[in-house]
Parts: sequence; structure tokens; C-alpha cells
Amino acid sequence: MGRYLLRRLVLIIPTLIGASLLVFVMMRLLPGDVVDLLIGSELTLSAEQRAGLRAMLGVDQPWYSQYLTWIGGVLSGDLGISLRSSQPVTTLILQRLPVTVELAILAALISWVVAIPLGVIAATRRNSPTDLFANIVGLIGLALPNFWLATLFLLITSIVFRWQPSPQWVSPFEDLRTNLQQVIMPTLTLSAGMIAVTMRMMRSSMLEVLGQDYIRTAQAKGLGDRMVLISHAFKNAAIPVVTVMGVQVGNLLGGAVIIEQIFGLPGIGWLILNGIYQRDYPVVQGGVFFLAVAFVVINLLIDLTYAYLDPRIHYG
Amino acid sequence: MASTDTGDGARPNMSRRQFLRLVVAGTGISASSILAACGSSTSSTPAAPAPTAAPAPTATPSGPRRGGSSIWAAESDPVALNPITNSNFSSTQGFEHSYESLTAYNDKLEIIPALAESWQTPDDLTYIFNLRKGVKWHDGTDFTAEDVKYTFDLVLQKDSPAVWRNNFDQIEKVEIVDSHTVKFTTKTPFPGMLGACAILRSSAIIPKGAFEKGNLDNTVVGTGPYKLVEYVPKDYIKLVRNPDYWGDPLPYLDEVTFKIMEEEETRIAALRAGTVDYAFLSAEGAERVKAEPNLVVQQGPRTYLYVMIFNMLREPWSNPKVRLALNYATNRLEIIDKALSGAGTVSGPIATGFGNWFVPPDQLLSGYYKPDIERAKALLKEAGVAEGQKLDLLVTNFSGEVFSRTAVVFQEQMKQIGIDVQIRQVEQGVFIKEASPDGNWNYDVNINAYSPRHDPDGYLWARFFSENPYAVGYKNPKMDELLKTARATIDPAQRKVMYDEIQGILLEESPMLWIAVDNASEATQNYLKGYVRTAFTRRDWGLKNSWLDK
Repeated sequence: MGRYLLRRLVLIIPTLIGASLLVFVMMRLLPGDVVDLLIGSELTLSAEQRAGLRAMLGVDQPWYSQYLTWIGGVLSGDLGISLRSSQPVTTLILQRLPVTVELAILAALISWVVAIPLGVIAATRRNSPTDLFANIVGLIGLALPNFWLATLFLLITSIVFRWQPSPQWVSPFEDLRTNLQQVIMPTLTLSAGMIAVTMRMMRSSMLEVLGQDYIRTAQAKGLGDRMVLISHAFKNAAIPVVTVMGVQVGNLLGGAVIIEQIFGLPGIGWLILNGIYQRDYPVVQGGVFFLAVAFVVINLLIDLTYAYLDPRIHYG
Repeated sequence: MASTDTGDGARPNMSRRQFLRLVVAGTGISASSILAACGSSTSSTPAAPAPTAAPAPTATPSGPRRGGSSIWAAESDPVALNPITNSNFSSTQGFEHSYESLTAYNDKLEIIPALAESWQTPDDLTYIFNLRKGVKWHDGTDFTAEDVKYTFDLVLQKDSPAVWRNNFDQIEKVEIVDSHTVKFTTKTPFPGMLGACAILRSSAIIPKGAFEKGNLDNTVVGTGPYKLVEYVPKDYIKLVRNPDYWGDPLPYLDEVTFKIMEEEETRIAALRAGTVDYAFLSAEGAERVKAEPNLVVQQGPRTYLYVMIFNMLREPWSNPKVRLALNYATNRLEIIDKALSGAGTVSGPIATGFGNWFVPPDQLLSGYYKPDIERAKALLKEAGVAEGQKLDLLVTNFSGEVFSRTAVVFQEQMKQIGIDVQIRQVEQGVFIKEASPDGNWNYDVNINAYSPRHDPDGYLWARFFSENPYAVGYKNPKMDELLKTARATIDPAQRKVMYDEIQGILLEESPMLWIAVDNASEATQNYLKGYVRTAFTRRDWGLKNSWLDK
């Protein structure tokens, strides 16, 4: 196990270098640079002024030299400085991290608490009204675009209840009540789609496991349904579901942009997206680097979970 | 809705004729504003806030009250607060409460003294500004002539980081006369001087040495009514009252937070629930909150001018006849109806509503803007343009969907004269690159918009003076001569004649298709008093005069 972990941790290094290089090159391939964006479409600047601005921001250097400077900084824990807001990228990420992490964790928890039991029940009572109900829930969750759901939440709360949470995000450690008011609508919105995916995954995986020989053996041994379900079927059926859940959490860290925007809770996804629009290279590089680290760690955790769920899986 | 149109009646249900009459009556931007900018040779004592045609809010028996904190919705992120290096209007809206220039605009967009208490123009090439005494920077140090000279020297460098440097290219030098007097010498008479300061684009005065020493993108040391507490990009800007403000008793509010809410849906929900006191809305958005009894909506035209720019380095667009043909095939009223939801007014080269410089909309509609397909076809035939001529239309979305909607309507209209418009919708960065010298002007026509300008010259010089690279192939020696003379003519009456002639030539040669200015709406809770919108949609005047009646 120890050697496996070490090997995985060492493998993280080329993964991160690869990801950072890819983002770096892709950003440079985009037409227009940070100075073009800073000048905008209305202004008429002389070539000297453009060159002056490029030199001021350091984007007149060759790309490899810019990359080496940046990666050198990363190794010493410095993700660079935003070319537009002049704030350290680390600060920008840390400002948004609490919101992002809170939304991701809450949305994931809500979706699991609802989806997993629903999936298991649907599988065990296949073709029953319960299964039908679970399927409908799943279909609705998948079919409703989350921006639509978010907008609906906004309309209902503001028109019917004349209520909106305080617009400025408050940490749960500062004021839990206000914080929950602020995150309830975005987390419900985010979890709706996740519930659908996890539930359907759980159901089909469970059905597959329940059809296997060892389940029949367990039943033949005279074990009760509940025992068979929990000790024998559930753990095995959970493996693909855990994989999906890991990816979902990873996605939430960077991919909740629209929901963040609608509810005015700017997170890391928003930071990166805006960085791309502004051609703010360090922000995009730093943000993606952070997400890459998060994904790698989450994946590692998932792999370790496999060993717990299925004793046949050994790392070593 | 306790609707208080700012007088200019941008209400979609008002007849166009009624509306035009009101615009021409000079409510958009008061005619006197730009005249005031160039007219007076001496001005002193701050102009008293002009009586305003708009909201009754201020007229309460109790009068303005100090104190309280307020959350306002900001519709876009400033991105950065450096007043010298940022071109985006949202940045100006971010720093305008903290920085000031020598002059400022009031709610009627008249130019009034700010950091300069008064000024003299002893001759056509000299401005002497008498600076306000006792003004403190937010860090407690004294504001002096050194700061003014430092700022303008920085702006005027050849490779200056000041993106709006062009606004000041007529200035020769800046000298300190004494600690509170500065003398500007200009290369030619410079009627746009006072406006170029007031518009706060690369013209906010910063403390001496600040550009090199500080991080101006997210820290602010200004002289304005509000001090910056914190700016978190994409999230909020928190401001606190400057107790040493020279304009005492202004400002009234102790604390203001601009919460960035880019989604209109979010702003409307917050307005309805009462969690924000102010929000900017589109025409559709304003319609939706009209029934709310607790909201006051101010509406009116703003000087945001939608244009379509020809690449005159390419055939056949280099031929004025072809461009005029496209002009006659363009139905601007249809574009306003379909792309701007009816909330707009046609405009010529100088934005409708900008002082008294613009061509009156009814004159445009009965003349060059009257669609005439037969004439357009005849012009194309004369120019030898074949049926099915392709037109590469470069589009991005700077302001919601307006640009792409305009493109689609235009495409349909051009079919009538056999021009095959191929819409190329790209991301903003791509657009900016392609529509610039760096991208070799890679388009036949692009759709753009101009935010407020400091002077009529601001709408014309960079694009139609042939030596400027952004003229993109437009060349007319007579136009060059007229533009040069007009920007160096102090007498407003003489200037007016010249700008009329300039606009006449431009309409005939159509180096652009000017479309329209749109209307803007701003909503406030009814307990927020004193806020008055302006046609520039800046909020500095409005905020410092706002107070809470609750």
C-alpha cells in the first residue's frame, strides 16, 4: 500500500506538468492577448503604446521563458499575479475556495443521501411503482437544465415570498443561519442533476450485481434479503457509483459557473472562465493547476476506496 | 411603479415623434454642457447642482440625511481599478467614487469644477487651473499641483500606459505655477480639455509617484467622496464615506457596497426582495418591475452608440457608392425594434443626445436613414457590384444579445439588394484581435458600440482622420481639414457649423453605418432618495447625492 501510494504521488508530477503545459500553450494559441482585451474594441492606441503595455505586463517575452518563470514560481508555491487585477492568483483562489468547496460538498451530500437509497430501492423493487417513481425522478433531474431550475428558484422566492438571501456571502463559521440561506438554493439546484445520475447509476449497478452468481449463493446459504443486500451486493455495486461521485465532486469545483453566477456566489469556475475571457494567463494557469491537483487527489482517494469496497482489489 | 422618467421619455409606449421632440429639446445631455466645456473663459465657484427635471425623490420636507449603509447591484465587474490603464467603462464605474479629476459632470452632464476650483484661458493655447485648497488624499496627505503634473506627465508619455491618452494629444506641456496652480499649454486650441478631464478616462488625478509605487488595480488612494475598503474581483466593491471630503456635507451614505450581479435575473430578484437598493436594468427588465410599488425606475436614452464599421481597405467596400447603397438598404427602425426591443433612437455619427452636436433623428429618418431599396440597387449597379456579393460580418457579444440580433436583422435586410451577409460570430478576444491592426482588419463589416465621449471630436477623430490607423482606409482630404479645424476651434457656434458639415459628408460617404443609441433604466428602492441617473450612466453624481429615508 505504501509503495503504491508513493508511486501514485510521484505520478502526479508529470500529470501536473502536462496539464500546466497544455493550458499554457492553449491560452497562447487563443487569438488576442491580455493587452488587446485591456484596450477593448473602442480604443485606438498607437503601436508604441501597445508595445509599452505588453512590456509592462511581461507578455512580450517568448512563451517558453514565460512558462519557465511561471513554473519556477509554482515550485516555490507562487501561482503568479493576475495580469488584470494585479492580485496574487493564490489569493484569488483562496478568496473563492470556501464558497466553491461548500457548494460542492453540500450538493454532493444532498445528492448522495437522496440518490443512493433511491437507487437501491428501485433496483430491489424492479418494475414496481417505487421503481417507476425513482425513474421519473431521475428523468426529471436529467431533463431540467440547472440554469432553468436556478432561475425558477429566483423567481419563486422573490415574487412569491419576497425573499432573497443577503447578497454578500457569509462564512458558515461566522453566521451559519445566513450562510445556509445563501447556499440552499444553489446546492439544491446543483444536486438535482447529480441525484439523477447517481440514482440511475446505483440502480443499474445494483441490478447487475443482484443478477450475479455469488448473490444467488448467498441467498441459497439462507441469508436474509437485507443481509445479502447490504453486505454482499451494495459494496460491489458501489464501485462504479463511487467513481461517478468522484468525478461529480471534481466537476463541481470548477464547473458550477452558471449557478455561481445566477446566485451571485463567485467561485473558482467563475474565476477561470473570466480569466479566459480576459486572457489573464496566470489566473487561468493557476486556477487550472489547482483544479488538476484537486482532481488527482480525488481520483487517488477513489482508487483507495475501491480497495475498501472490494477486498479482491489489492494495491502493493 | 412610481415611474419618474428622467424627462426624456424612453418609455417604449411613447410615440417616436413625442420622444424625438423631447430628445431634441435637449434633455439627453444638456446642450449647455458641452458648450459650457468650451465656452467660458473663466469659471469659478462650484456650480450649484442644477435643478433636475427628474425624480421627485430629493423634494421631501425633511431633506437629505447623513448615515446608513446601502448595497447596490453592479451589473458588471470593474476587472481592475487603475484609472490610468483601464479602458472598460465598468472600471470607471468602479473607481469613479474614489478618484476625481480637475473637472466633473453634474446630473445634467454640465461640466463643473472638481479638484480645480476655477480656471482661466488667457489665450487659446493656455488653460490655468486654480486647484482647490485643503483637499486631502485618502491617506491624509495634501493634494497639490505636483500630483496634477505627475498624472498628466504619465498620461502624455509617448509609450504611455494611459489607454485614453488620445483624449489629451493636443496638450503640449503641463507646468506648475505654484502649489495650487497648474498651467496647461496646448499645441492647438483645445476645446475638449474640460470634458476630457471630467469624463474620468485616463484623467483621474493620482498621487505623485502612485503609479510606480502602488498597486492601483486593487488599492485606491484618491480624493473622492468614498474610500475603497476592499475590492474582490467578480464579487464586490466596498466603499466607506470619506470624512475629509471637500464637498461636505456630501456624500450622505456612510457605507456603500457594490455587489457584482451580472445576471439581470439576479438583480431583479434582489430588487424585489429588497436586498439591494439600486440596480441597472435593460428595457425588458424595467418593464418587468414596473408594477412593483416599492421601486422607482428612471429611464432615458444613454449615449451608447451602436455602429457597423466598414473595412475600407477591402473591395468593394472602399467604394463610397457601395457603402451608401448598404446604408439605403438598412432599416434602422426595424433593427431598433428587433434588436433593442424598441428601446432606442436612431443616431448619426455623433451620438443622439450628445449636447447639441448630433443630427436630429427626424432629419436622419427623413433623409439618409429612409430605406430606399431601388436607389440602393442602382448604386450597387453603378459601382459594378454583382448580385450575391459576399459580406463577412464580424460579430461578438459585448452587450448581451444586441450585436448578434442586429447581425441577423441586417443579414435579412441586405438580401433585398443581393448582398450575401455571412455572419461570423466570435468570442470577444477574437473579435478585438480581428478588428485591430494586429489582426490585419480581418472583416468586411464589424458591429461595435461606443460608450460616452468627452467631446464631439471623440466620436470622429480616431476613425475618420485619414492618418489615424483606425480610419481603416477612409480618406478624404476635406474631412481631414475639417476635423483638424473643428477640434481646434474654441467658439461653439463655429464648431457646430463645422460638425454639421462633417456629419453631412460622413452620412453621404458612409464609412460606418451608425445605427442607434439605446435606452437605459435604473431602478432604486423608494426609500433611496437623491439618486439621479445620467445619460452617461455613470453613478458618481448620483451616489454622492443619495441618502436613505427610512
